[in-house]
Amino acid sequence: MNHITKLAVAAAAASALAGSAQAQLVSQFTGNQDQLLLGFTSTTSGNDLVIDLGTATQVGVGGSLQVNLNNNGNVGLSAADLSTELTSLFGGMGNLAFGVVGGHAVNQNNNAIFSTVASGSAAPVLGGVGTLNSAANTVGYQIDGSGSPANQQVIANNLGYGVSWKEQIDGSTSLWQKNGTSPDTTTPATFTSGSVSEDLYGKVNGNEVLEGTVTLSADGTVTYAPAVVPEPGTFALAGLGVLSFTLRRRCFSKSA
Amino acid sequence: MKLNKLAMATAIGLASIGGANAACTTSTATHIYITGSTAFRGAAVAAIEASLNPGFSYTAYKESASFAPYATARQTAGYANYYGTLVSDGSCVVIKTAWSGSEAGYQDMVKCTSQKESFMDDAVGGFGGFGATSADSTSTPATTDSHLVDITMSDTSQPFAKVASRTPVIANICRAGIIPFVWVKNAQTAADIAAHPEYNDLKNVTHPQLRVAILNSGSKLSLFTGVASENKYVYVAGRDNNSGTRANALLDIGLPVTQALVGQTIIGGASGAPTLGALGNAGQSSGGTLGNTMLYTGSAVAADSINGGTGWYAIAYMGKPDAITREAQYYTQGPALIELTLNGVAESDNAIEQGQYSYWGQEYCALANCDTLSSEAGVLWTTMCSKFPTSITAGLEIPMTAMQATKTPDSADPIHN
Repeated sequence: MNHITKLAVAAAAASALAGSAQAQLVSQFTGNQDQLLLGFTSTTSGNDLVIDLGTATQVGVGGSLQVNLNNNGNVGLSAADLSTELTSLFGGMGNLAFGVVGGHAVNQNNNAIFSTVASGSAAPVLGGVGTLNSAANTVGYQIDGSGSPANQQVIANNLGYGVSWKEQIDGSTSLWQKNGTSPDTTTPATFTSGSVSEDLYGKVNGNEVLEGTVTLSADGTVTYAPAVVPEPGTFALAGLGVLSFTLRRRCFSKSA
Repeated sequence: MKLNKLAMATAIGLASIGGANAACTTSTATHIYITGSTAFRGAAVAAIEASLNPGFSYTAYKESASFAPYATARQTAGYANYYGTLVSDGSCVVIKTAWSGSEAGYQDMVKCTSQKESFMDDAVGGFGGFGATSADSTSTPATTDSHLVDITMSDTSQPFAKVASRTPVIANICRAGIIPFVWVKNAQTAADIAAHPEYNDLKNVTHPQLRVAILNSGSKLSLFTGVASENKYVYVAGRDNNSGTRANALLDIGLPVTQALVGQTIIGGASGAPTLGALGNAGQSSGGTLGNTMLYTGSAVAADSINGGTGWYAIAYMGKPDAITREAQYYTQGPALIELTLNGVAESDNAIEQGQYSYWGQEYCALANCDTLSSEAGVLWTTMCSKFPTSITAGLEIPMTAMQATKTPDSADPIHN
């Protein structure tokens, strides 16, 4: 099998994999691995829901493709099942505050923090990276594998435990919001169709950039789209370029 | 004649005590198991001994090399067995202590039918038993008696224990006193201090500075000293999440006891060549071990494996008893720990009693409410609760009756009564 054939087979296999539903990606939050947490809270429920979506890379940050996070296994639930769970916990999809945070902090030159902000808003303030990461870790460590599915946890937010999304991230006096901008956006009171998007920013070793968009649809679908998604035509052109370059190299190497 | 009567009474008394103890054996005596706070163990030990008739014997291990200002070395012991009779009813008891930490103690209480701690066996190293010679040791003993716990000491109230330890509510619990905590900086040799005088500038810490240091990848010394050129990093060495000292440290600086730490380290290596462990949520299981690692000299000239460069300093939160036994006034084996002021206030009994100094906890003594509990454990708990006010060592613990300030709840700032 020549190189081109191998490339084509590998691409086809990757495409098939991306198109199929996968098993849940993570089973337990481990902290400091850039795992992104998707948190939900409301003003009326005594519980929050937090889901470990996997690492930023697994979500699609740094990639070029839009990812359906239900189908890809990041959420651990189908869109319908997530909608059912949110409705059960919060009485519906309306008036839900949700956001995404995560990161790691090894030292002054090796750290990152990720946070959503309301779509179209200014870039979020992301202060002490370690402090923000501590808030995310405090919530994330509640995902200890005992939830169902294992990559999520329902956490009481009104008992003073200090480990819920509301207490660490969403509240105006939370550790997160003492050091950064709220990552949450609230869905409309009536949210039975359409979607709500948030911009995801990453601050890696001090450099903050817009990474992409996280979208929650009323049917429970969660997607991630990188900030710059090339059009299909761009892909085709790039592919033709690679192909012609490879063929050209092969021709020259045979004639040499 | 009066002297003779006194001597005779004393002899009869001693004989009767000896007789009582002679009638006791480790196989027939009731065993009572106590665990919990390492920071308050000195007062707890004094209360246990005050609950026993004179003539008891003990075997105490893992004692600190330096125990003053405590009256006895066994008040610093990590493990001890007592063999004697209770003052309340004269029953024969073997009381075993293994100080596992305040939060671990609460776990033992709420899971008192299943959660066990490791205690010393009835006889350790050839010592132990009714009428046997008492023994003191700084060695680490074998702890082969894995057992459920009857009584625990805790540095916080139950609502501020770890989430899993907050229910069921413990019915029998008394306040034993106030346990002071302090922040200290790690020891340095005189030569290193002379070559790196910035060490002397680290005298005080504030709550915001501590939050930054413990939640990030250390903090530059200049944040604490205000001197821009002092660029070495300061790291927080601390305890694991079974520690009440840690719980109170977090509460005092405005964080929940459940906060996942990002910037805490475990000091390794040895004196002359200390090393930094990876930063994170982990910590030492023992206040004594933390204190010993903080005594390792040489960090001012050691490699900073976290942020690079040469030289670093460590600060740590510790129970006052574990700290002061390693400070210069009592520690004479080498360079000592140095206490830091907190928000500009030095720790003292008076500063705590008046509410000026905020890093302290209310100590609780809890009795397990399990079916497996012996009645003698309840008798001992009741007696201990009555003995705490007179079991306090001034400068190390404070009786509740001396307090002019309160924290309600544990997370609150002190308010003068």
